[in-house]
Amino acid sequence: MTHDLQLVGLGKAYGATRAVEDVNLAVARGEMMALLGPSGCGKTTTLRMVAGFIAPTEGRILVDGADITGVTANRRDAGMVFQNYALFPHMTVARNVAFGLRCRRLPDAEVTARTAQALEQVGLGALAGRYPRQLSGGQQQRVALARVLVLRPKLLLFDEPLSNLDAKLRVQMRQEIRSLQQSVGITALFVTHDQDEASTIADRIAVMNQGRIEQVGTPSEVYNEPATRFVADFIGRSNMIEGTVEHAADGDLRVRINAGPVFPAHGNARPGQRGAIAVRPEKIDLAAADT
Amino acid sequence: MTIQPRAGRSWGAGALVLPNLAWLVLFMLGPLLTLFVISFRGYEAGRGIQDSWTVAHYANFLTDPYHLEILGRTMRLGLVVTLWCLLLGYPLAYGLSRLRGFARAILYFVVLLPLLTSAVVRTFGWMILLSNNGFLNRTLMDLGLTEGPIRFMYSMDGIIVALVQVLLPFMVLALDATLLNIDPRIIEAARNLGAGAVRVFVQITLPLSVPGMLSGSVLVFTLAVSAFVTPSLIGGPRVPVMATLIYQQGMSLLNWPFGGAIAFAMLASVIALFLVAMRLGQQGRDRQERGT
Amino acid sequence: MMLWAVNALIALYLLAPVLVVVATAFTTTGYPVFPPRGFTLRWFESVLNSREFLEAMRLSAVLAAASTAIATVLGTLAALGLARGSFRGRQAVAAIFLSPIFFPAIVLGLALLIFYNRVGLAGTLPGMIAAHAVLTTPFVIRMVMASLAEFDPAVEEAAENLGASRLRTFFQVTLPLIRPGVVAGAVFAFILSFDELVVSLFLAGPGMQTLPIRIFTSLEYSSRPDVSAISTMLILVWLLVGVPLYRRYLDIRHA
Repeated sequence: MTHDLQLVGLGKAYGATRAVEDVNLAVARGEMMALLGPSGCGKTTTLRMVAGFIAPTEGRILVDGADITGVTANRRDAGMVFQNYALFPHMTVARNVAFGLRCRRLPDAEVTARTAQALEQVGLGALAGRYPRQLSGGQQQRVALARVLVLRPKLLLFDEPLSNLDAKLRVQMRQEIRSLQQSVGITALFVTHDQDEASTIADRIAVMNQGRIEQVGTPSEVYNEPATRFVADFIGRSNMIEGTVEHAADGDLRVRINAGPVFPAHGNARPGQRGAIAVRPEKIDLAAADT
Repeated sequence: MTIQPRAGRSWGAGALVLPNLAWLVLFMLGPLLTLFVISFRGYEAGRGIQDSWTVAHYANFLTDPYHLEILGRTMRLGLVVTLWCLLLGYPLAYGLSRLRGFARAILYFVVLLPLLTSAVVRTFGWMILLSNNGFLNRTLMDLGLTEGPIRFMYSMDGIIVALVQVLLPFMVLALDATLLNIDPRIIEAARNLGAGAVRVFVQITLPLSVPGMLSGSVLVFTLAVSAFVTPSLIGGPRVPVMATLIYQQGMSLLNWPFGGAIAFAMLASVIALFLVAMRLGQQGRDRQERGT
Repeated sequence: MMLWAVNALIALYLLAPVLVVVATAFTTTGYPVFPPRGFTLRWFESVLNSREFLEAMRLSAVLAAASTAIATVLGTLAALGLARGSFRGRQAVAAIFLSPIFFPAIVLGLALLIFYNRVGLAGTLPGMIAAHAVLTTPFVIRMVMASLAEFDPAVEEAAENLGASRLRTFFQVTLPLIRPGVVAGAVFAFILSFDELVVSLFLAGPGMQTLPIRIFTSLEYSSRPDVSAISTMLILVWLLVGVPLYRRYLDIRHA
């Protein structure tokens, strides 16, 4: 049974500063949605609001249509994987994984069985008796995963979990997380500032900037059809050529660039609007002058 | 020490400070306020505290030659002890900061051990050592360094010798903390550029350890100026300092207003030094930032 | 190396009085002399048979135990509040909390004497306990804060995220992780309370002699080796308590 997540008009203000503003997002059942953006864009604040660690100043959070905005953090059933894993250093791997089950006061037999199963799922069965400090970064990561997966939560929340790993390990763990998420089918939110990560791991990406969502789309949509200048600039590389729209029909535009000539472009714009054409480097062909 | 800021959790964890805050208000701030107020009350020998208001006690302390002598002696004691602690504490702290593992643990324990023993016990040890016939004098005479015994007991010199030992650990700990904080790679860079050991010390280590020297000095000065046990036992009634004067006024003569005035004069001197040290520290930081 | 020769001398200077006191506890002479002459245990015997010294030890122990209990609770809560709370003026509150360490005890002693006189606590045991708690709580706070800084605060959030209530999070996650700091702080507080003299001098009522007070007053009149004996016993106790604690809990960057 999978669940969907909806953020409706979510916002968080600290005094005069708006960390998150008017965030509307619908994450479908079993979907992995990435929150992507530069530091300070509000992606982590949004995630922590879903987790219940921050109370929104406006808006609602709905899981399967039910409003959980007022529910306390420990009752949300939205397992979170933290940036530094946040494993309990004084507990063995097994006790770490069993922690959430114990909170629910499940019978011992069930706890033991499910713990063992979760550890197997992430390939750490043999390390059940070890302490976190005895594990490598990748192993700690897996324990953090097992710890939330064992609870079969409604949602999975990832707070930049891979940023502390070296490049090779990151790619490997990325794939492991993705396949685990897909095989279990849990709806997930993944916060990252790394575009490659977002593109590989997620079904859809929500690009955020200064507290607002600039665009939500598949990795390909966000890359090929950026909705705003920020997205065009942030995602991949673009050459931005300033100009004014001369002619617009059904999304086909004629833009007179500042240097003089008129170029064709796509976009939602009206004649007279000023803006910039984004041209990806790979779309540029060099040819001899007389062609 | 600084507080590490933590993204505030939404459940008023801050409220947990209230019990201790209440306790301190009741058993420290309140009494200090009472003392301050009472230092402005009139006092008549034999009749006790009056209802009048006066600054006579402060005036008395700051103008009467006998009291000025005590004030001067106490400040001198503070300065001399602080300087000796810097002089002796720096080599020890420097050595300590370069040790690791077991050796460091041992030396650290040696530094810490005096703090675990009561000030009375330590002073008692000095009383034995410093008497005219004591170990120190006999050794000095045997070595031919002096003809007759040096009068340590019941003199400032004796107080200084003992007080420096009592307060030295504080200076060492403050310096050690600062020295440990110096990024070893700065030292490596200096040596890589050709600096010898002496230059590294004088131009890099010493300047960078100034914050520790300042904080250690403020602490030692404060404790030296307010020291009671050591001056009382070693100096005796012949060498009064502010702390012993306060005790006498407070406990024997029951002239609380005057005792309060002396107490706040002592506090004022400590705060003045603290502000000077902060100023020096800030100037040092400003100079570093401006690159001069 | 020159540095080590100098440091050895300074270290000797640091230890000198303690060594002297311990050594003179065994002297056969009627007054403490260093180096001691002869060897005898009779001063220890005399102390253990002296009702006044035993009374003083008992009072000091009770006082230290009670004030340590209070200091541990107040200090642990305060440390948690400072480290995990977010409120304006946190630095100021922290400075106030730590101030008793630097504050001249003689001033505090007089202030408390006058204050207690007004509220009827002068010369009472609860009054002394309260004062000792003020003096020792900062050490508990420091030790607990050091412990708190050693683990990722996110583990508390992780526990909540996994379903733990605040109470469970505190007892199963936070408390085990700060226990070293709490214990170290409590031991420190106990030792400091036991050794405390100045404030106690002001606040002790007639017949209420703590061990340091007893030693102090006896030193003002005469100097006998039984004072050395009792001081030696104290030092021994602190060594027995302090050393294992030191090795287990005070990891001041020794690695």
